[in-house]
Amino acid sequence: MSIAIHDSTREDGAVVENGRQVGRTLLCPHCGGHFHSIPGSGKKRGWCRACNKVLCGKASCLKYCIPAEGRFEYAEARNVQNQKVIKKLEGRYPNIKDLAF
Amino acid sequence: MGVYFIDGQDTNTASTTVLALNQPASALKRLKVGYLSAGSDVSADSAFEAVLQRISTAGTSTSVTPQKRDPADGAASAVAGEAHTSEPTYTANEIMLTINGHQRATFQWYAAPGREVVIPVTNNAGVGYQSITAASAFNQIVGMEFEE
Repeated sequence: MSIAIHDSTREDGAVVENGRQVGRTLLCPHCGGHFHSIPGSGKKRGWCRACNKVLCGKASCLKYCIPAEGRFEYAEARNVQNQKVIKKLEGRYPNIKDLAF
Repeated sequence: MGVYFIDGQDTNTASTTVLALNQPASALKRLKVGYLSAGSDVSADSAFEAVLQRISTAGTSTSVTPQKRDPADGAASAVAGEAHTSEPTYTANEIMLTINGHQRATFQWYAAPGREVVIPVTNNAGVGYQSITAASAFNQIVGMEFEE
């Protein structure tokens, strides 16, 4: 039996300067953007209990739990006017229209 | 699915897009940016700040042809540009990465597999490396690797 362990130290990106890793980035599960994770920086981030991941701290990411994949699908559905998918996603995530790319 | 590399250069005055990667007018596949580098071909002391931000509409620029990593792959559908004469339209508050560096130190960012910056299949959507400020503007060279 395996146990899934959340590793909060896992990095989603590495910052390298002159051949040396000097930092790491984490991926926000809501906007799909990377942010520099610097312990002790004082930057206010967030935590989504549904996604079980650290958030970037942007107001829209803190306010709504809309996974980035949902936003991508919504943008792609609007691109081809796929009303079935648009309605499905607007029903599942009522505020997704406000966050459209 | 192929992996491609693009690079461009421009003087990094404030609000200048050095390099942009966009979906074509009829987007076909998602693009995933997994690597970014920013450097200079001249050594001097100038700190800079830039962002990788989402684009909703492409600007007017000098075309850059994506180079394929694997010669067996086909040409990329994505379009890229440098030396913009007309800036792209950036999506507000959609900054995918901030880059704070120095002219003497080459900045590189690698995404872990599966953690790339994704550009959805939306016509003309993309990401652009835009200079925010530089202590003293210089010729900046930016490279990006993406897969589609």
